[in-house]
Amino acid sequence: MNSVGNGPILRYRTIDLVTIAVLGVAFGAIFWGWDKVYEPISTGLTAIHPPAVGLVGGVWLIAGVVGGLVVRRPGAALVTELVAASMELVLPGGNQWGVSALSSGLWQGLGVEVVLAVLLYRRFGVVIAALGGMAAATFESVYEWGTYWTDWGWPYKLQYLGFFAVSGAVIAGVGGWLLVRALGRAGVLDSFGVGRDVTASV
Amino acid sequence: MESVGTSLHPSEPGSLQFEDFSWTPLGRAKPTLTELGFRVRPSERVLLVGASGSGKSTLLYAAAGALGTTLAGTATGSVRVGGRIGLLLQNPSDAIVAEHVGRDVAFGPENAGLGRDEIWRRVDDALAAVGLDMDHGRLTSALSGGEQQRLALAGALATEPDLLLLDEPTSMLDEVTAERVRSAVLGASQGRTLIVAEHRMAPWLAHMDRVVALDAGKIVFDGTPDAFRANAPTDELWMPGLSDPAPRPVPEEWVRPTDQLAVRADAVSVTLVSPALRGTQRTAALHDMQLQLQPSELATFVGPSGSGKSTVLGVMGGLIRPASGSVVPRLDRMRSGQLARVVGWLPQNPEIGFMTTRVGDEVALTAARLGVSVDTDGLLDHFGLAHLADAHPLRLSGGEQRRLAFIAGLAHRPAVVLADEPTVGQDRRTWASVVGFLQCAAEAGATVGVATHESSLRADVVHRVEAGVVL
Repeated sequence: MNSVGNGPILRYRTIDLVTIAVLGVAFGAIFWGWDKVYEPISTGLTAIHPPAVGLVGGVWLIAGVVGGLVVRRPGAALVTELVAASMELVLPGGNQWGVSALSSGLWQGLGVEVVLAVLLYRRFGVVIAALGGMAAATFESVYEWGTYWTDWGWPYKLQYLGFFAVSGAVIAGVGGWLLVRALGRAGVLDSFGVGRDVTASV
Repeated sequence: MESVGTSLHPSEPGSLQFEDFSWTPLGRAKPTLTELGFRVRPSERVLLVGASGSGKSTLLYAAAGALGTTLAGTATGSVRVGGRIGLLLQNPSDAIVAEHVGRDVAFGPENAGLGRDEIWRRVDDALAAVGLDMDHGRLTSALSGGEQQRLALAGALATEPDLLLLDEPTSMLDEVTAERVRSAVLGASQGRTLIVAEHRMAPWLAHMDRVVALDAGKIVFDGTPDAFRANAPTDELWMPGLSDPAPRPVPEEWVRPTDQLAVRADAVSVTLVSPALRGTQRTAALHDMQLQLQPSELATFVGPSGSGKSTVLGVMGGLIRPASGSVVPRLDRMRSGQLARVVGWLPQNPEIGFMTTRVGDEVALTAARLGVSVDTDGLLDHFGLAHLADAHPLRLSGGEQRRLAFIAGLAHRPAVVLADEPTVGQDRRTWASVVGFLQCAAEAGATVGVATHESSLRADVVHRVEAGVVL
């Protein structure tokens, strides 16, 4: 019996494109809200230990992880994160970082994409998701060293990267993986690999 | 490994060929279509019949090339289709893509790359054909179920397809509107291939070249309408000339409410507000309604598509707040938990109420939250869903979903039972189960209100609704 898979991984179906757009817009709205909440939290963390703000940065990385794990095609993680970053700017008031959020979206999405690509888009477990989150945090940290944290010394810069990587692995990686599993069990990802993975036959 | 379920190869426009085709949906152990083999010639008119859940919609999905993406699963064999396809889905709201009526119908022609004048000519023709005489700027979110059905059909007609696939195109329409839509379909399908899936087949039969009957995913009849009339392949079919089946009663303890409650509306007017980015639209839905729903009484609401039947139920169940006038008791002021205890509601679009991922859990959910025990197995058995207890509600067929939503909304024995088009998509057997439940609920003391397009549903009181006025 032939299994109905999702076709060659480079051939995007309509449902793949629509899903990336929907996920990107949804996460963009979440990011936009998180941008507002982030201000007081980051102020508090900075007062304790400046590089510790990296601990909450993982929230912004989740779009790429979820897009990549759901669609399982080259480019899905990157584009989902980019759409989300664009949405942040388009929503009323935009955000406090302006157009540079697009650069962040690019680096963050690329981080997840690199991990999935190294595994040839064949593995989508929790470890891969966590690694993807870490890679996204690493790319973003290096980008931020040169833009936001230019007055920090190396100890702060490296600590920031470490904190951010942990946040990326836990919040975006494990959190994103759990979210995708939950969506699959809810029955809304039947047309994707994850839907088949979590569905039992009756 | 073959990677696509339905392969679309170029063939003669309007032709359709199934070869040894089987389909097992994701989450099901057994195939729901088994070794189908038949071909449809260009401009043939085929009526597709079968019990609820027999695979009619799946067959249409297969013909439209939607298996494997819209529906996930495993396919064997092949489907070949020639030419452009127009598909009307069983749940018409699934097909609405645009904010305004005109743009929604224009979507197909736009994607076909037609010129502006041609697009709007087709939009106007299609809207006129289905009898939707409304402004292009009318919001699609403000349409009734029957209006949505006609809008979706207009969208399919506007693409002028070679092959027109219609899934219960008149299921939510009153007889007058249904007749109009039927002649529009038959007129528009001249020279095109037409496949119509419909339970209430009698009015279609005379116009068709061929009948294909499915039972549990297999073809059990394929021949001329005359041969079909002479020999009904299964008992569940609404064969022309048969009287309605006797309603199947349910035990009184399934439906007897703890309290009885009358609901009275005095001089109620309702304005439906459809918010949109560019200008909110207000539609006067009901005007000066005087109505009393009594315990132990089954009242039906009948009338043309878009007349306000669903709105009446919404008001009487506390789900819609009147713009003026009063409803006693003040159901609309109740907290949702309180309201759920006294009012049970089957929405016209059944899937909007599904909360769980398992049919059995869905049945018991409201009752469990209210501390009421229900006979889940007995109910599922009565409604022919016992074999699907472990399935996901969203993976059921349209008719099955409606029955599940019906049980899930009413299993906790509410004092007020409101059902919006409960018999849509039902075969004779499941129709008898649904109607039996409603009649027994009324006999046991419940206040029952049913919005329906069917004139055959026996009621204690029949209210006619026309243009927002309850007569």
